[in-house]
Amino acid sequence: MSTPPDMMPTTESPDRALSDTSQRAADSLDRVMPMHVLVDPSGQITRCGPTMRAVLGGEDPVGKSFWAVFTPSRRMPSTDLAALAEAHAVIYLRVGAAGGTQMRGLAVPACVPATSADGGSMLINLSFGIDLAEAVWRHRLTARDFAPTELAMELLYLQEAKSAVLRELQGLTGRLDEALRDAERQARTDPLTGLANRRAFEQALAEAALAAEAQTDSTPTATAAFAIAHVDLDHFKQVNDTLGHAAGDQVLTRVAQILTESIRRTDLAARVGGDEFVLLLRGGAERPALRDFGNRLIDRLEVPFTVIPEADAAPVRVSISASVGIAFTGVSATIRPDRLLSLSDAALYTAKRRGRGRCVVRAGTAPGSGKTGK
Amino acid sequence: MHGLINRSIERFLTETYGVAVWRRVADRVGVPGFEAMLSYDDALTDALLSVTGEALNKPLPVVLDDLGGFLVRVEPLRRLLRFGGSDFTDFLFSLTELQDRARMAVPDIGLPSMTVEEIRPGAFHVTVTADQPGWAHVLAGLLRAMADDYGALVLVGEVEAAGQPDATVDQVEVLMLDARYAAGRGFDLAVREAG
Repeated sequence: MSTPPDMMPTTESPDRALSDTSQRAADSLDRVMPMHVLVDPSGQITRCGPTMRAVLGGEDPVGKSFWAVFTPSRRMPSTDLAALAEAHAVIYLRVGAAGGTQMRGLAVPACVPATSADGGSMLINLSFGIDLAEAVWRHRLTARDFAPTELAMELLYLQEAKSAVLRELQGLTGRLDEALRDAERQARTDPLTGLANRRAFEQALAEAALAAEAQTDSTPTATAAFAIAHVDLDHFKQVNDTLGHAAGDQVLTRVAQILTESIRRTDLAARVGGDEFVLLLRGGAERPALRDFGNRLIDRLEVPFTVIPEADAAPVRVSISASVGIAFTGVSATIRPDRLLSLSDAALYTAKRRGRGRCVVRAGTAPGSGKTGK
Repeated sequence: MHGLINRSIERFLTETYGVAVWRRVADRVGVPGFEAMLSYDDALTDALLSVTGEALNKPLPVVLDDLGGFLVRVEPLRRLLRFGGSDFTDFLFSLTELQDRARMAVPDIGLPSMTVEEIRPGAFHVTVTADQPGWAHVLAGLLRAMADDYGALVLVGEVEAAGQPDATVDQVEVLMLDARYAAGRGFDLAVREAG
């Protein structure tokens, strides 16, 4: 390698024994390949680029055996440096012992006057692979530690830019997910009362029917049985017509509250029409218990309460009642959800016809055998 | 305009003047907020900037200049800018690559193109060519903040664009007074991501 006379060394070199020309060649080598290592035929390190020194840390590597300073990766077929250099082989290694920075390099025979040896030396130029950012952090490297021809800075820049973009995208995904959940909740909820709406009720009913069917197929138990209670308010139209919609809304809200308090956590209350509600009662159903439940519900709904028809108006005491039609699956019955629903509808119709404030219970297994309550 | 740019304005208002000011501006523009990774109509950004100017009672160039300074206070952005060079002069020349660099990360970001010229020792002209006017003001504020970041003492001024009045070609002049005036802020090439 010849050195142009006008090329001024910019880094200090530790090679004291070198001639002026060799010194310049060594400086050039440091600039072009700041992470090179020169190894003599015996395998000892004779020279080391400035960034390589920074990566190796404290001790001077010169004079040490190459494989004492680096650990070969398992993917290396051989550690014979002379043979590797002759083959222009790519070498994979770690700095120091296990856990050290991973590096990748190229070994070639060195015909560099910078070495005093007569030839047979190897030049090994090393680089960080995909671990670049980790290595830069670990060894506190700066832009000046890389040759200007290297793309290390671009890679670091890109890595950081991408992770910034990714953070923004994750934020967006999170917000979209939340918006989706909100939309789903709204699509399943009655806005006035906060109860489930018809769509949510139908879905829950279909699921309950499927669960009942599955359990009946294996081991018939009472827990899979369920009931539907259809609740229709009596005298509600009167409140709405005489006191206005604001009062009507207060009545509906109060009814929703009573329904929610009357059922178990596993049950579901839904508002399916203006003054029409349905309850899905899970976990077992027997006629006397259901009749008691319906009657107690009517009692609670009949307790008079006050509404405020409009802002700053005097409170007005109102009393309403309700008719309840209940249909249940029976212990080991499989029944189509729509059949059960129309059965509870029919029960409600019967209750209304027999006078208001009544509860009628029908069993799904034996249509027409329903008995009146209250 | 890319959402990142609208979102930067949103963050600038929220973090500098508070959520209440941002809400007032957003309500008048008629947006709930901006998503960084979506695209918006240019007219929306124009409206956003003019409403911001009214809300802050500042002329638009001053608002844009402040915005440029704010961008350097956003740490990920500051770091990306610092990758441009190891000193301020180096950084200044890297502005010619900024459009391409940004495009590497966000292909449709639409930053202006810039050229840098040293017109005499220590005096630089940065020429900004963009689809929208106003970028030179943002650049001026950003350059002042970046000079602080590098610890350089500079004077930044906007040069009246020669030529047609509707031109979106603008010039910023940078006078380097002292490249090593102060220590500047630190910059490690690599950082460990928290979490």
